[in-house]
Amino acid sequence: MRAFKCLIICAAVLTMEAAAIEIQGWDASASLDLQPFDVQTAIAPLKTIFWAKPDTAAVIALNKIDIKTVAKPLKTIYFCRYDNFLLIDLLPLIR
Amino acid sequence: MCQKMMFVISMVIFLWVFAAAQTTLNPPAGFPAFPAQSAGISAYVKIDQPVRITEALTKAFYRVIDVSASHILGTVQVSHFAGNVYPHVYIDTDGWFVAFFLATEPTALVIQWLGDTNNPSAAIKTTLETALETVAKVARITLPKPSFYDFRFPEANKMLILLSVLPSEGTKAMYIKIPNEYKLFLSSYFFYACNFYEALFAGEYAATFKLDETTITKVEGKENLQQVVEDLPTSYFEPEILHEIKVSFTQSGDEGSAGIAIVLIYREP
Repeated sequence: MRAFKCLIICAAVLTMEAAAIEIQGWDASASLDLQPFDVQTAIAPLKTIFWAKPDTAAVIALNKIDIKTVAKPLKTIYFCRYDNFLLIDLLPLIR
Repeated sequence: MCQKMMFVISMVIFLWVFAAAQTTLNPPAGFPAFPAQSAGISAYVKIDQPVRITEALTKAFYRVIDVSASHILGTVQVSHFAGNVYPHVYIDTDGWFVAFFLATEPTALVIQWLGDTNNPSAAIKTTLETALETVAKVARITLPKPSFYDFRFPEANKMLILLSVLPSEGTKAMYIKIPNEYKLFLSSYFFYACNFYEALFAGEYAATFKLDETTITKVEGKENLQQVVEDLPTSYFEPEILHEIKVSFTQSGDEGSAGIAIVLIYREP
């Protein structure tokens, strides 16, 4: 039993020694744990006016629209141009 | 009135057609908001309070890529003396804050060089942490210290960052030995050198990064800073061998510095 315990301790010590990366001469080191995570959030339609990134072409185009006259069935305009992104929900703007 | 209405409708149709012609459509409502399939190394925090996605929040972003009522995704500019990097940042209404580099980007972009070109600091901080701090400041939320994860390597449980600087001319050798029991998934490095000085009399410089006597990269120039950030084949770090990483820096003026940072992603038994 005693010999078995010694064997376990020796194995543990050897395992501990084996489980280290050896580094020498570095000014700094940082070891960080990596832990998985899971984002469950789903995309939800935009409800309010939201200018993600002003886009000149879109701004010019939209300035030409008299927003008060837009009919109610028209809802969200999805306007994408190159890398810029603009989402506008017209409904809140209709007075 | 009727003419005005026709104009409005035609403008809306024009915008719709223009949008459909230029870009891919957005995923419909209900799709996962976080782009886990595109993400590589990530720093994340989940807070216990709801976050409002507002127009004000977009000010923290260098570029907004996607936005919905439940999330915002974009890039944030992080500046350090060796250049600017643009990690992606995702925020959602459930309280998730995730800063990440794309799976295709070199992992060593996480290195944030501190100090300045003439007095580089040997402290380690990641650009992902800084990106989270940037958006948290705009959102007026204090974030706890983030956790890290790499979506490309679900088996990996550790990231090791090693960093050394040469504040003046010279050669420096560092060593690393990886035990056989470890499984190395990725190795990446960030090497820079400079002799940057505002005055015109700055000298020329040359700097070399060698791994086991193999020249990995060499940069040289005058009055500027050059950097190389890329992933290295993991075969360079054969296990149970003490590998030498050597950096040399020569300069003809007094200004400038050089630095090397290595990032390893691996599984520790």
